[in-house]
Amino acid sequence: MTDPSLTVRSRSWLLVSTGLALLPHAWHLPVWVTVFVVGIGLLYRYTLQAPQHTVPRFLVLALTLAGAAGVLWQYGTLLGRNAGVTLLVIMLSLKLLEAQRPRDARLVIFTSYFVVITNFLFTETPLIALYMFAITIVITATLSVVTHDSDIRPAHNHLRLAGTLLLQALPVMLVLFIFFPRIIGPIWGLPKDAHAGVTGLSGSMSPGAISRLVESGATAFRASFSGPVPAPEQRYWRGPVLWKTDGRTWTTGAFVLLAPASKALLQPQGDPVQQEITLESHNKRWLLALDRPYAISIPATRTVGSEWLAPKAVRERIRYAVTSYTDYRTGDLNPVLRKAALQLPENLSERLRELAQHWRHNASDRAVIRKALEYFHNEPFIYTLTPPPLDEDPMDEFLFETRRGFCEHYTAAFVLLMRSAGIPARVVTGYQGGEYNPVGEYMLVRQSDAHAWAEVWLPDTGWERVDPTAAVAPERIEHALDLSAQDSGAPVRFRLIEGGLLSSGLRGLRYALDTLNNSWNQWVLSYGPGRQRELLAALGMQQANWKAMVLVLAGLISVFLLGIAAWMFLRKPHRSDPVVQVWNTYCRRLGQLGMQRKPWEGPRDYSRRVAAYRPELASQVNPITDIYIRLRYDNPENPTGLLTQLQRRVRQYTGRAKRKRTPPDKPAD
Amino acid sequence: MQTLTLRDRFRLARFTRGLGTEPGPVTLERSRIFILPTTTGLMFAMVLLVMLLGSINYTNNMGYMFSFLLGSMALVSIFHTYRNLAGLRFSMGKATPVFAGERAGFDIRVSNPSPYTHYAIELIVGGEPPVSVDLEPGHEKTVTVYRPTTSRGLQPLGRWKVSSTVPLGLFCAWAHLDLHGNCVVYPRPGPRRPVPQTAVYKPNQSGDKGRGVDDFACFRPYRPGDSPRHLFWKAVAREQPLLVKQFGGDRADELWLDWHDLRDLDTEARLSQLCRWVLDAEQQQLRYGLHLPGLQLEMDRGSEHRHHCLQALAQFRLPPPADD
Repeated sequence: MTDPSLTVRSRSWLLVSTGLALLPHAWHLPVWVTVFVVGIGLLYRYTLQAPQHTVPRFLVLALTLAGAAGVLWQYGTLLGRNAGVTLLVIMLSLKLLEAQRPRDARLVIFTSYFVVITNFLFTETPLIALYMFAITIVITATLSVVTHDSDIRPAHNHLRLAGTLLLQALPVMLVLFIFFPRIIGPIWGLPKDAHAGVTGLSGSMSPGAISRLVESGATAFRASFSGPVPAPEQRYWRGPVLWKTDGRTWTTGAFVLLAPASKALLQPQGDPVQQEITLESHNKRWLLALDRPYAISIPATRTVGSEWLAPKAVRERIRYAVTSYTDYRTGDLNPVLRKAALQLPENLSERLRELAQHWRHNASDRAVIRKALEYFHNEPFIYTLTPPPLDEDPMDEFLFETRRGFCEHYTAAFVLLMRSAGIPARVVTGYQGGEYNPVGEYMLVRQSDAHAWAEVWLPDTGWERVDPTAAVAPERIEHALDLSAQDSGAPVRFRLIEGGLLSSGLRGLRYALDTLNNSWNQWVLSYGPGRQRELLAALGMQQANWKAMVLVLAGLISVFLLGIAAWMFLRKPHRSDPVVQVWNTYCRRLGQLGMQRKPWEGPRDYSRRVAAYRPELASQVNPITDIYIRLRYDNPENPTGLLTQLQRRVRQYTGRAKRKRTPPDKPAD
Repeated sequence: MQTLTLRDRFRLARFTRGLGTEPGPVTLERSRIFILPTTTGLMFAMVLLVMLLGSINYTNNMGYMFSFLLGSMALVSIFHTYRNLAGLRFSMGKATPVFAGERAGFDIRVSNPSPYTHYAIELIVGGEPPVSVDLEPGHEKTVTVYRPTTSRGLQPLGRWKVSSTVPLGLFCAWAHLDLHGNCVVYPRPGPRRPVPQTAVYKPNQSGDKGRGVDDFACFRPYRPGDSPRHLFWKAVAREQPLLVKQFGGDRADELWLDWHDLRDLDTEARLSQLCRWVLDAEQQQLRYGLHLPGLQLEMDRGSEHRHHCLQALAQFRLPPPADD
């Protein structure tokens, strides 16, 4: 069959729907790609204006090569997530230029669907989901337009059709989403950059690492508590524990320090804190939890540093319950760990060692700690996000010269001082603080709450938390940083309690939005094999195997499809004409009296028959018939007035007939 | 409604050929309509599969959701495709006679008693390009479809297909129909060949050449009832009495077109030749009659007579040997 050329109308639809599908990619693609694609869109628009405006083939070819070369130049490859999506975007826009026939148009439309789905690799917020649904309606309408290129239905007709189709598809989609057997991905390898752009604690710390992380406003995790929310000074969320340093960078150290450790490490004191954490993907194994985590609901290992590690790097949002104790003792320190907790860099500066020795002089461990904190508090140290760069011996320069630093500087210097004084110490990275959302009743912890603190080992209590940052800037523990008001090199400003109606209103809105995001994450985005098993178990399918799941799936889909079919085919067509409605009421009423209107009987004949059969009704029936005929077959000047008159008369008539509802005379026909 | 036995329902022939010839009108209902994915639909399924695999690989729930949304949409569109055909009523209209070798046009009446507008209903006959029609609720339209003819006789339209890919082109619903209704196919006109019998000049009691519309004969005074087209207007302009142009010669020449004059040809060639002569005689305004073995059509003229003659030729069957 010959494929005729596309009409300008179809091609305009294609342009609009492709543009809408590509639009959300503009946020994360390089600027030149956006410019390139918009240029092609304009070129396509130009070809729509007149039939003689065509794009020569060599130009399309040249643009294709240029696009591919650009991607290669940008990413160094044509494969992978970012390069692949960029290439797809460019090729879709170029395919548009070539779309001359319905077959090409369908290819463009299917590719548009594909471009829409690739957007979910970058963002999955409910807002984007809504936008995608709207775009899908437009793309589907375009499919309808190009499929029936020649017919002249108006645009809204196609849009309504697409909307109807997609709304009818929703129930079946939900069934598939919930019951389609989920497996733990990936099936095959993911491109290396599949999780690019994920922020989080890195498992190592060097000057500037945390302050860089703090600049991200991204969510780290959300925590909800079954009991009371812990006080601000207890909101330390434990992450990677760092033992080993070369004087600049801190790392987790030897493999043994990440090995599983026994439960006996922690002797709880006081009441447990139950929390449920929804951790965002951060591409590392650490499972963040309130310090100190004691037990966790998912398979994970506890390290000697009381960290919890997932079996694999966390590459999707996960949820787990944790029991933590804010009050605890830990046991003895074995020789291996003691050695690790006292490790010092080879090139430790003399000044630093002397300072520590000076404090140590016959003093107890606690006295040394107190002196160190007093040192930070009394000397002119400044807590700043943008400290001056440190060169050869960073800790020496920081302690004695620049004296400006962020939490990682204070913590690293403090731990080095402790170790120099012979006190086992280590660096703990994690988060401190969090914003409580009263709408969703959970605590939101952002990357900007990233923090580092120290732990020292004392013979009587075991490991104990010491936060040297608190000695310099006690406000840090109570308040979040105010990232919008940081000056270069200046002390950190904190977000104090916001006052005023407007700001509290805005805060409420922000809470509501984040609650929406959180519910979306909980119920939609974190639905996986585990949740599916839970749900099926709750539905009574304890040992759900594939066969049973496929049966349930097929059964439910059939039920929903039948429902939609019933709705489509059994629904009485909507009679919009009120005149016909009133007339039908009237005929029904007469029908009850035994005078059904015959299908072939016009209103005039009908009323004549009624009048002949029941002469006493003639005075009512005749005017009703007259008005009806005028409304239906004349073109009266005042149709609304006549309609109300008709309605009134019919109402009066039926009302009266109801009142004397004596059994009607035996109908003779 | 036709009831089908279970065995009938699963007959493959019903799927590929429909229910056979039947009188109209026919309403399309469940038992007649079939639906299968189109090539576009299969392509769409491939795209969906790739989307689903990608979603599984990336464990992307939004991806799952989107793939499922499009898949469900395709499923739901089956109902829309079906509804676009269901309930339509088809019956055959007239078919204008044609000569063998021409395309025979058949009128098909389509009516839509359902409350929905049906879009892009395609009627497909043989290898002809499909004819598309839109039908609003309660409307009826007549669609002419064509089928090539090769030989004279009564040509049925035969099996044809009504199909629709509304709304998205992913599925095609179709029904095969074969309704009673024939088109008369006249023989293919033969080569121009002189009529062996010359036209017979017959004196006529109403005048030398009779009265008619062909040849101008004379002027005569106007009588009430004369056609104004025959008025001699120039005389009116000269303020002379009204004159009427009298024509004559209608019944002057009579011609017998005889089967037996064409002994040198075979049956079909003879019929073609007779067909040609009928056309020529009609064109020359002759009165003619047709003589076939076992059939004689009396002298007459006019389009109706011409049709009768040509139809007789179209449906001619050589009687059993005895006559010739």
